[in-house]
Amino acid sequence: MTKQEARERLMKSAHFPLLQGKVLVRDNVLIQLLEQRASRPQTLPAPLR
Amino acid sequence: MHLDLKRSQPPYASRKRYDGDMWLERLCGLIENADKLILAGGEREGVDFVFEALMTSKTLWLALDAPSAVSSVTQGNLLAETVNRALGSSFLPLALPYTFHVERLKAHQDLLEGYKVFVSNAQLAPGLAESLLSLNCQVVLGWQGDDPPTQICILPKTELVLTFTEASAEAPELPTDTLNNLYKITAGAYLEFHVGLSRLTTNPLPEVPHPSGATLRPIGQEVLADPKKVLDHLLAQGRLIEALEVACLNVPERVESFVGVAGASYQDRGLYEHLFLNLYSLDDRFQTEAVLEWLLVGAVGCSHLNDALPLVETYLDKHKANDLRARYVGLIKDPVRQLEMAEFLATLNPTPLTLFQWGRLHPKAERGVSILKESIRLAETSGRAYEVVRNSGALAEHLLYLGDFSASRTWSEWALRRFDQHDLNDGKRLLRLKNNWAVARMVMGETAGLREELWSLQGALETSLPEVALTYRQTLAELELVEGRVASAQKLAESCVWQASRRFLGQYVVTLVRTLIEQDALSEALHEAEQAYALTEHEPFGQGARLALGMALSALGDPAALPHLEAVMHSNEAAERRCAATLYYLASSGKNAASLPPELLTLFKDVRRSGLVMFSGPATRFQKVWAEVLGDNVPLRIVTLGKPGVYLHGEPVYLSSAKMELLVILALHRGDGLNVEQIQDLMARSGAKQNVRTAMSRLRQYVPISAAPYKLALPYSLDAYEVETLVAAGRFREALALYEGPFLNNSSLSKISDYRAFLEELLREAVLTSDDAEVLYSFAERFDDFEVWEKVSDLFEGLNDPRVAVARARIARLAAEFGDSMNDFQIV
Repeated sequence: MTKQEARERLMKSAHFPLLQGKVLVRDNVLIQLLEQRASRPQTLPAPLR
Repeated sequence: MHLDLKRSQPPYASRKRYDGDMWLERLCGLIENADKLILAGGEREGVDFVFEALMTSKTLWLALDAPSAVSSVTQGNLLAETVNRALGSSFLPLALPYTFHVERLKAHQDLLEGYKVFVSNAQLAPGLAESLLSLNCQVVLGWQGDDPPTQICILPKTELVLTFTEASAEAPELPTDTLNNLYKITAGAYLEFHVGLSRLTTNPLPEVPHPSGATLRPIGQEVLADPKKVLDHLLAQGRLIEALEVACLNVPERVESFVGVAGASYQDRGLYEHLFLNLYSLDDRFQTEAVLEWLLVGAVGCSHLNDALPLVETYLDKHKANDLRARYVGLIKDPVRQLEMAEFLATLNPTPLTLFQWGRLHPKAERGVSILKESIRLAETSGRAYEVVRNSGALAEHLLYLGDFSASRTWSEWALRRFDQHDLNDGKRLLRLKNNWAVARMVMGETAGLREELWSLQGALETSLPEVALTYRQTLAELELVEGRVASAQKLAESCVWQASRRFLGQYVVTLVRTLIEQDALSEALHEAEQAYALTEHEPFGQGARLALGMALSALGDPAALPHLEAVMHSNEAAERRCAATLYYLASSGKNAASLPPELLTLFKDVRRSGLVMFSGPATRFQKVWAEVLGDNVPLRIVTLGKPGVYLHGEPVYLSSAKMELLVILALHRGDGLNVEQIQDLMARSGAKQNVRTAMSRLRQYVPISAAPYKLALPYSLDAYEVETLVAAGRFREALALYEGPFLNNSSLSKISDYRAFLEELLREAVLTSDDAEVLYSFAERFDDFEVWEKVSDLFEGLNDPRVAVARARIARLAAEFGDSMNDFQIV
């Protein structure tokens, strides 16, 4: 399997499909968070490791 | 097949949620009383709105989409999570195909009593949809496109869409021409119509309902977002599965920072292929050590090793990469190099993983045990819960192999409890733990409650994980044998042998040969053993077939058995096989157990009668050997619980029911003996005293009995008394296992039925004082006792044990039955 094939398989069932360098979001909770964020100064998320 | 609309138009009680929505009210009315139904439409037609309107606390609503439908495991996870949410327990583990769960649900029909199942976008997972239709409850599928399941009522699209009247009611403010146009363009599809309406009016964009409680924007109305920002939010919300995918496809430079936690999450949910695809698709420069470590985990889990290994090996050629190397160790083919590497890594950097690898690979099992114990300690202080469970499971397996059955049982049980308490999901690991646990329990005589669990799991595994099902089938065959269902045991063992690869042939043929010997089919047993032996003779895994051959020859009285049995006894084989070889050796050689080397005798320290039956038989030939191994020198053994039997000096004595009753009356009497009148009274017989004397002298032909007052004239054991002793000693698990059935169940003598009731109540009272969840569960399963089920439910609740769902369902059923019987009583 090539890397490209793996990527194509991922995209077929992606949670957030790609469009012109952006991702498509349907989840209203996430959309709300993204909108709130846009109107607030940005903070980095807490590191996970 | 189409739904008869005229027939199913009940006057539908208007609820608040339908207010002003004639369409929703009409559809809910059509669907509510259907048993199995397909709605020929999807999101566009508003199927999710209908499901939401019909949703109650007893609804399983699965909303499929492309990611959740991608494999049978993702579909299984969606189903398991939906069921678990509804039942309020983790009844179904994750990481298993949906077929497993559907079979589990079928085996526990009472759990879904009164439930309805809705599936949106069922066409994305036709196999899952078909399986769900086989459940005994209401199932409604939203199906978009061609080829819906046949033989199911369909509500066609023409009936699913808005009628013009309904559309007008939805948009009273719209001018007629505009309404006509909108209706025409959207073909009356509910969601499309409302999306259009929101553009033409001040109405907000409709939000598509979702079982999670969240809402979605309609397809085509998505928001375009910056992947980096989406990733931040997903990570902040702990949505690691989606986060890793977004990062791999769009923000690869971020992958390394959280691949450890995300990889573990993928592993826990069995999403190996998805994990592999994500990490494999990355550019070389992002495939760092941590990424390759999880890439390897994914590849091993989904048979993509050939793609992953070159990447990993190239990296290892250039870097030390000890963590990655520790994962890689398991894949090294040369055992000497493999062990060297495992030891080197564990010594250099002891971690839960490096010690786990070294411990499980160590050729000296005792040393392996101590390394694995260290790996558990380390996992507890610095590792993940998953590592604690994995390492404890490996330790339990090692101990089983060594013959420390009691410790193995304890570690398996501990790992299972941790699994539940930490809400782990990896179903395959769970099943492996359960199988080892079951084997140790059988050997130790703790068989109570096992059968139902094993049958239900095995049935579910057959269609979902055939390779795991084979192991379960063997365990079940052994249990059937132990519990006296020999034909069933043979059938299971036969199917294992037919399907086994050559490597595992020996392991399975032992069980088959054992069942054949039990039925005196000796030439058949020899034939099976010889075949397997010929196929595996010079292989390192050939000892199983060698044991089978030794067993068959021994049963035929052929001294050629001895060298085969001795070879297995003194080999490094699993303890189960060494035990079996030892027992057949003793039976064939005529030697007594005391002559055995201590390391072989030690193997039997935890073995109880059921273990001995599992390893050897039939009882008629092995009673003496078993008695020796158990250190049980009582000459007369009386079995009254389950299938009655009498053994004198190890030989079976065949008694009629009347003689058995008389023997048991004598055995129950612990005093100085019974006189004729007492016996007449106890046996509920009138007539001449001579009759008692005659009966006694007839019984005396089989079993030594004193002159009047009558009593058994030699030391004896009565299994019912053993139960009493075990209960008094607090050994409830063994007591329950020994209690294979009611005391001499076919007797109606009052002395015997009184004692039967006494023993059952004694056991019940003892169980109710116990806090051992397994004891309570076993008892509740067997006796369906309301009070015990209540205690089980409370206990399981506290332990986060998934079986709490079963307990709750039984309580509900028993309460309902009790309610019904009370109603009957009132009517009468």
